Amino acid sequence: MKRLCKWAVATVAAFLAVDFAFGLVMSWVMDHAKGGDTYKINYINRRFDDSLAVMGSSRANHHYVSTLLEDSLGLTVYNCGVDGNGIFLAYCFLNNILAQGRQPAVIVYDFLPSFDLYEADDRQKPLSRIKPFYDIEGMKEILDDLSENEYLKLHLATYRYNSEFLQMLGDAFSPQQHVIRGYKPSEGTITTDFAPPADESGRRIDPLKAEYMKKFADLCRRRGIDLVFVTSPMFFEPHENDNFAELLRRYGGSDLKLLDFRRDSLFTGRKELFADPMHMNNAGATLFSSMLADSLRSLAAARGAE
Amino acid sequence: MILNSFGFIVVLPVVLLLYVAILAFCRNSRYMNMVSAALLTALSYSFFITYQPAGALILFAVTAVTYTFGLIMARRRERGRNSAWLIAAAVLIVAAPLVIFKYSGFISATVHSLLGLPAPEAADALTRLFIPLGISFFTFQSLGYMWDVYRGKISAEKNFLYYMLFVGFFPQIASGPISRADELLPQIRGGRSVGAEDLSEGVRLMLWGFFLKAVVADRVATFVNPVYADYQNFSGATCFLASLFYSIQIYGDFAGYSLIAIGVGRLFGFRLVNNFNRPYFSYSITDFWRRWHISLSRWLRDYVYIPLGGNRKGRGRTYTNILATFVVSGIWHGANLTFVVWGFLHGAVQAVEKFFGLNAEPKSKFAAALRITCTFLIANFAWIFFRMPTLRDACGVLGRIFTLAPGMPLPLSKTNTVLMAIAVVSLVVVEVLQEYFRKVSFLRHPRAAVRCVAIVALLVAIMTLGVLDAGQFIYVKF
Repeated sequence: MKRLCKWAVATVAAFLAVDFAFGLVMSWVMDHAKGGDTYKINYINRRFDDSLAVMGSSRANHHYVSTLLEDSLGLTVYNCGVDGNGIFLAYCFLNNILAQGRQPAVIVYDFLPSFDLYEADDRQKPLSRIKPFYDIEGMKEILDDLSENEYLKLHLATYRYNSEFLQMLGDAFSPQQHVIRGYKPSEGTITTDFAPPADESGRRIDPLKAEYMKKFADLCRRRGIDLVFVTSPMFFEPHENDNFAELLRRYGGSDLKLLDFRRDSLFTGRKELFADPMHMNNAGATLFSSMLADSLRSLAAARGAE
Repeated sequence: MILNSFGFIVVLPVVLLLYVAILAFCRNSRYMNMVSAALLTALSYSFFITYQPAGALILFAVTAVTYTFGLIMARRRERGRNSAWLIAAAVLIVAAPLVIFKYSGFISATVHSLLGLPAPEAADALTRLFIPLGISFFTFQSLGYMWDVYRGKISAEKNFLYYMLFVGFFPQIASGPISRADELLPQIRGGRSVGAEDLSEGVRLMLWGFFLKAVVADRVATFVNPVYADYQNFSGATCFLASLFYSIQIYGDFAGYSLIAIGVGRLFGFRLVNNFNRPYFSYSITDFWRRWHISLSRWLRDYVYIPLGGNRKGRGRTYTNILATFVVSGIWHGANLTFVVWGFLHGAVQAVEKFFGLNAEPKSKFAAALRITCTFLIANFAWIFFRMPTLRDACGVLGRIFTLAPGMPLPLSKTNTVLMAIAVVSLVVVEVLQEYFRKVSFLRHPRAAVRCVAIVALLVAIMTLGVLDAGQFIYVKF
């Protein structure tokens, strides 16, 4: 038994040493990422200093052409949208940007209840993006909200960089993803017939998502950030009951407004503008971004007049 | 109770230290067994109550009822008054919670559907309320005990504490393995000890179990789940690939759980029955069931197939018994027609194999390779019924597989593809080495330094490649 104890201690010590070394290497890799998601997430959490932030899911990531918005609006724009994520990650990003002493003047949030309000088994999703930044002020509360004892687990570097280290190594030494100021263009067009999506209006609301939606809107109000919610175009026309504006008002606050492009006939059903039913390709995103820039200008003018 | 949860992993060493200390302290005491059994029973019930307080009541009720019936049957047997009505009554009472909590909704819906009536809304109220954790497992284990007492194969356990531990032993309560009384009860009654070999083997089993669950099963699930959730919009090739990966997922998930459970049992000095023996190398579905969920296959053979007459009553009856046994197996897995079809398919293929003599070992390597491939594909297509929520969806996936229609691109990033490839290739290499070359793994290498490096490498692999906190094991819902 003594021999076993000796080897057990040696094994644990060896693991901790490997873990520590892994943490050092990955931290260096993250700081030296030249492109891809690693550069983007690191930029948002540590270096963001732009006037307009686009936030939301993959629909934000692939639909808002930052450079086009920059040219049209005369503001610096960064697209912070991340595939498969919604309000939790957006709140973390905003918290981390503010914790660095910076703040955007405008946030354009691509609103999609599946990610931002409806119940889904997706609380783990934002974790992989924010675990390496656990040391930023205010993160402990968010991490523990998303997963029990998360803050404790993050002391292991192998856990912090779990599943992400390959992507990070690629982004540091040979970035493959085409990302321009956070915008990630989608390629291809729809070539097959898709079944229209089911009516989701009856889905249950996740109380934690609703709480974070409220916190996100409140934080913007408190800091004087102009918050604009947008739902970008979809290939299929939405169901009649899908009243996103009402959902947003109910859970975010009655003052919130939504620019809803889902019924815009310029986009609906046009296969050449979509890579799949939920995501526009670069052509669609370019057309949409120029329309959005006009809408944002009109909105700013109207708010100025008020 | 969730064996892969952070809480359990933190609590386990503390509890183990306490247990080992108590064993050392009471080594020469005649109360050692009682004290350690009391500790393990308290632990088992604590874990259960933490996870599902109401379920613990059901567990206790099933334990108390089967314990009492066991004693009554043993006494009547001693007096030569063994009666079938008693075991029938006992089975009905013990199976009642299982039927009520797990199957009431399904039975009501099926009956109403057969009568052409709409199912009442409250039909599945109990099922929706909650399904006691591991109810299928502990009910089957208790029923097996009662049957063995009734048949006189074992004597009834007189010590209620020991019996409570037998039914509720925490590593196996959620998803098995289903232990037989003649295997586990003597270990509970006998003098317990935890040696260095128990501890190191327990850790090895647990680590490989975690690898199978987090690195293999949960990783391939990141591909399988989005495809099956939206199968109408994916191509046939993608759906087929998803079905192959689901076969890997269900194996990694359940074999992973079983290894963790067996490993935890071993840490506490218990040897639980091995549940898997590289099932995808089976040369027939009959062989598959000797290697897949071994403890359930054994249970069904001993307590369903053989009591029905087994193969002793002619060929026709044998085939019927096989079919009946596997339909029971399907229903045991879940209250859904998809499971009935899955069980029926397995039973039907075995009947066919028996009829054509295909259940014998193949004679050439080529024949073996061909039959292993065919068996895997049959099991693979049957898993589609196991996985999909309705028969319509299962047929939809099958239909989709056999079309040439294009679909959405694979829902896989480059990184995830590499991680999946690492996971699947590691699994295949290890399984091939174990099946055909009987290689001693690095984890059991004679040199301690090699074992130490292997354990650290496995730990780092789990932590860096695994999908951590992906949630519960698939079989827990059964």
